[in-house]
Amino acid sequence: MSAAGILANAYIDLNILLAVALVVWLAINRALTALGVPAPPSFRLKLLRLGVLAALLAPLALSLLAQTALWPAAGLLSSVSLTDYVIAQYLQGRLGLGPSEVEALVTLRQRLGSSLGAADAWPGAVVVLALGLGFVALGGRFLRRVLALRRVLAQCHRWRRSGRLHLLLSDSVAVPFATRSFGRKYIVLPAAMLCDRRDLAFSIAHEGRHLRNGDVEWEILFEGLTPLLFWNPAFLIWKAQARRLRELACDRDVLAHRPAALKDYCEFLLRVGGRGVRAARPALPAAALAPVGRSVLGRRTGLTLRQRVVALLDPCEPRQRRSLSLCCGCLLAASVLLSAVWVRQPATVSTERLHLATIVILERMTENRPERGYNLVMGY
Amino acid sequence: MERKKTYKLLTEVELEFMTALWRLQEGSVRDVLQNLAPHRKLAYTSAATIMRILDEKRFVKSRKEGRTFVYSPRLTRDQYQSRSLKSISEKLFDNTPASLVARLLEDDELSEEALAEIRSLLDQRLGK
Repeated sequence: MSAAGILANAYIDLNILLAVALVVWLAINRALTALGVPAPPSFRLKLLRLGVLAALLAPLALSLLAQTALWPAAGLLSSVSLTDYVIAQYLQGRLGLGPSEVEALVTLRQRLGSSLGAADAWPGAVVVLALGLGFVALGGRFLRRVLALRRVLAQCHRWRRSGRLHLLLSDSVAVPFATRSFGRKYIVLPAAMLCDRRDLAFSIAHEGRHLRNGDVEWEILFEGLTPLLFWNPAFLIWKAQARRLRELACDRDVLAHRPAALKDYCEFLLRVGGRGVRAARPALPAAALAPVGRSVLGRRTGLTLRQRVVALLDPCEPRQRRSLSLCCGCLLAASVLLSAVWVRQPATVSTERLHLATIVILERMTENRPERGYNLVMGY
Repeated sequence: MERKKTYKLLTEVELEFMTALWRLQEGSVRDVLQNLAPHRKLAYTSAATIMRILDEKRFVKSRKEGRTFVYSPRLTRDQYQSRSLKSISEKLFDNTPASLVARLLEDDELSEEALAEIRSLLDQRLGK
């Protein structure tokens, strides 16, 4: 297979795995809710990140494992695939499809990969062109946002510093946000907020939580992946859910240390967050107190202030038990890894594939020469 | 963050501080704090930060007297008013001050007194 074909296959794998991981994540969430098991936003967020990481890393992990001849399961892994399973089901008479239909089904993935990789046939060329245009447009948007963020940071005034954390004041931002560069972490606060110490304290606590929870790094990862995966609804759902849950988790974390300040904090959210919603500001690749951005479809994204306040007014869920967290995490990671094994292209031609190919050839011969009166029984 | 853009206009809070400093002509952070509106309850450290930002923006200059910084304005109130009006004229009235004046004259809330004041200002600036 050519290098372009390998890349196209890896791209298809990644998109499928993101969708599978999302389905499993949603199913686990639904199951926990149905069983009445408390699942605080921080737990859901960790599980979500595990799902995304598993989807991103599973194809790579499998490739590495498949090349490790010493590992006993490597041979087993290279022999397992979804297409072989489908063919086996057909050969055992469990699929009500004709041989050509089964062949079309099991080679769909291969044809898609080849078509994307070669980009010679017109459907492949159109898809590659559309993906390329999306990549250029959204990659450009990402770069513009990074430059806008650099400009905002360059205009800020230094306020305080603690180790690698820099607190900055800005005249141009309406809502506090946290961001980072390679060696530094920043919390940017509106300069006007200096006049309200209570808002200042809440803002620093909230943005500090974003930095501590790794929300900024995840936001950068999601923004960086958007030009590649912009068309995949599963990825867009992952991104929206991550933004929603990180705000809910931070709100909960801030109040965990100041349980008596619930009313003040809700008022602060409405006051400061409302200011951000009203202000026409560019979306930055940073974790803001009231994140406002546009999805690729131009829809306003982010969690509404109402939802956040309502979530805070709900009784606080107890901390998740470690054993249950571990179980859910393992289930999610194992599902994604298993799916990665199943959806990938088999390295060798299996016996099942040879059988199917023979049956398809025989079927075609029958169709081409009906006068000879062949009467082949298809399938097993 | 080393390269700073030249700042033309003041934010709302900075304008309050500058108004106090224009009244005082020069003073320390504590002096400025005492001259702010009574409802403006600010911590000393916050006020000191705002004064430092004004210094960075080159709206004020500072000198050290003992352990205290004494601030004085770099531009007068009139100079800032002109700058502010010029900015509004550029941004909102397509750089045509006549439109700005026309808009002011259309304003129902403009009293006869205020109109007379504008006329005398025009006479002063343009000559009779």
